[in-house]
Amino acid sequence: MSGAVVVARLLRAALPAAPLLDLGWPGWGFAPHWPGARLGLPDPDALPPGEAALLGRFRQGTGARPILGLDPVADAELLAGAAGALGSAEAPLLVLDGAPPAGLAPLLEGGAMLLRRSRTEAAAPPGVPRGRIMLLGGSLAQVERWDLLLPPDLVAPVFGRMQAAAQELAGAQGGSAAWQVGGRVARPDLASLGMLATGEAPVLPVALSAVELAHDLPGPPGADGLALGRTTRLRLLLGALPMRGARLRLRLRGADPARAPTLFLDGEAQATHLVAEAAGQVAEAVIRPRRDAAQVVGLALPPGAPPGLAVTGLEVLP
Amino acid sequence: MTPSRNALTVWTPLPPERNGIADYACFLLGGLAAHYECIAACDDWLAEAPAGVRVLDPALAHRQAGPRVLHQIGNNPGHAFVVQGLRRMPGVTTLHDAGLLYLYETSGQGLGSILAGMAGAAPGLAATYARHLREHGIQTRANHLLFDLVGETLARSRAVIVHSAFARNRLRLAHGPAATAHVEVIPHMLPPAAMPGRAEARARLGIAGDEFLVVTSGFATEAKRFDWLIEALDLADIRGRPVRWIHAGAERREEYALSAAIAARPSVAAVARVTGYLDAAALDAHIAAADVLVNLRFPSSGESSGSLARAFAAGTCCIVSDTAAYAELPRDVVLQLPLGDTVPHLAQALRLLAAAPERAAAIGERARRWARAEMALDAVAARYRDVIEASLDRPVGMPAPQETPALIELDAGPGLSRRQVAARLAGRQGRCRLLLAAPDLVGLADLTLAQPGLLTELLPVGARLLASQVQAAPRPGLLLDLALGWDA
Repeated sequence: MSGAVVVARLLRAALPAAPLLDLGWPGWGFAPHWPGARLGLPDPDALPPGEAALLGRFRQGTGARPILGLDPVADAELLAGAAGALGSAEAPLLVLDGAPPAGLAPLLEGGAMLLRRSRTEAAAPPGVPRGRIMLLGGSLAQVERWDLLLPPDLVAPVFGRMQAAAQELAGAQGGSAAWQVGGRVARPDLASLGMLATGEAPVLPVALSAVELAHDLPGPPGADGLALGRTTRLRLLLGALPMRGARLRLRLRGADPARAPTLFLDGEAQATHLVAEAAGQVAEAVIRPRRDAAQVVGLALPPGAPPGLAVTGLEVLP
Repeated sequence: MTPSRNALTVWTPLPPERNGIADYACFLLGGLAAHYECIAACDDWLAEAPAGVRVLDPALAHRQAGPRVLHQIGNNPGHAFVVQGLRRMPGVTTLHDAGLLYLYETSGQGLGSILAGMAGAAPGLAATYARHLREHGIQTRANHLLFDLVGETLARSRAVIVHSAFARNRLRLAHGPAATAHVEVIPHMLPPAAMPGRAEARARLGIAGDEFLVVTSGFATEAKRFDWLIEALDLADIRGRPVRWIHAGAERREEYALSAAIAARPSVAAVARVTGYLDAAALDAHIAAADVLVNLRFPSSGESSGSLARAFAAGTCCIVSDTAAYAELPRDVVLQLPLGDTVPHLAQALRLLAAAPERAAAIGERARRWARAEMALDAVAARYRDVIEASLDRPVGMPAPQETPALIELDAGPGLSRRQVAARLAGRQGRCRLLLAAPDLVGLADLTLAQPGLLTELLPVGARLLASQVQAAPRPGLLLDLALGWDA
């Protein structure tokens, strides 16, 4: 999982305008590091009933779209290539942890880029010819490998931008003692890039605005963020977070310090404290995820809390 | 090194919800924690649980659940999330009420689930009553007596726990021996906290030692027969000691207008008081302070009483109705009043107990000793553990996985009856396609013109029509998409 975080950072720097569709359930490890990423399920029929009921609650973006795979009408609209369905007219980047589902063929044939976890050699996806950048992430002790499949003419420029981003990230996170970075362009359509932590990879910060959060409120976020109205419970769906200590921070407006909210991680209450800041308040808890899978952040208001709370953003900090 | 323990996920309401089952579950979790790593899946994420028991958002409970699951189900909308949990995570179910129709009605369950449950509870009656409900929205109190809606819980549970042999026998008579072979009886339990002494409780409540204190408790319902108690208090004409009656509980005027009933009898109104809802400590104090706890029921559907357990723990003398689960109590630990002529019997019992408080104390003490042997928390928790472990491999009745709906074809001539359609659909759950075949489309048109209410007349209860379309080929007819049975 830690490798996904680094690869997501490098790709985000190299492809800033590409919308991301993360189909890497149960981890969805790229989504927290790619603001605005859409979540999707490669095989929704395989979901256990409880997980299907849980994921069916969530909506994303101003269009309040469900997770791809759970709503045939919304799925058909996206897969038909509706303009802006993924939030941008750029060719999308699809993240997969296996073979692409048949339903994604229209996107692949339309030139979508593909990032897939590489455990074995896989067949080429349908559609236009693609070049490949082999990516290594994680740590020296646990190397994770992905293949980025993209138009051949993009291999060299994307490689260059990713390499520069890797050098910059390594410099900001401990330097050459903490990272091994290397790679090369072997052919015009083939390159490789590795960024491996020499020790334990650091927890990289996550910062998402309200509109970038998958949530279970009945309406989409507005100008003031995710407004709870009279609701006293909220769930937010994140991708997987490192299974290490981190600070979870929810930016709020309208919280009553005398009846402060409690934060939850994967359904369980966390010791929470409320801090006043210039633009509102922050509910903060120290968390330690127990599962290498998509996390659900919850917020609950105690009885008597005034209505009108709004969530304006979420952060996970080291 | 502490050996790891098996996890047990308990789906239940918990305090501060004002619900006797929430209190029961909180006590029980404290006992089960000796055997399992307990997790409570509760709709109130901020609910109170015993130390060491984690409370989880039920929407995420499946992520931490193992094979050991326990559900606490009662007949009110506060248990809707438990029914959802039972559907996704089958386990052992404690059935606190003999009927669940009110729960189904008030918790957004689909009409199909209710109709299927009615058909399962009393097949011979369901056709008529369910048709009233489906076609005219008619729902009467009779439905609550006739249709217990427990079939789904029985089918989806690995084992079902009830608190009395009466409750088990009632289920067996309604649903048959095969569907209830996994029903076990575990008695109600004593509250784990020590009850205050009589003198201490009276001092706390400001009640003099010589007052004859009658207590009733819980939500005031019609079945608790306050009408009998009011009449008996009036009739008893207790002399020599001041009399006081406290109803330690809340009044729900829509269910029973207790205050109005008391006010209508001035002699009783002069000594009576209704406290409103009390927390556990205050309820304990009232019960411990009492000379007698009056706990009548008629009719009883087999429910048990948490207040009775508290009274046993306090050594307070109890008067109950000689019916249902209360008739199973030993004759020497409570006073059981016959259902016939209850009022004079109750008046006489109150008069005698007021005159001889040592007799009330002796009955209460016998009850305390009996309950400590039979209803102790550790003994009850151990029995729960035995049922949970023994039922782990028992299969449950789950709906078939979603797949291409089965197609059933029937010739839709004028002779086709609802009974024939019901026979073809019998035993199916989930989605189904039914083709009412006609010789050709003209024949189909003739049939629907001749019988404008064709589908209403033909579809059995428990079959929900999702869509219909006229089909020309491969076989002409009316193609119906149906949903059968329980909600998924």
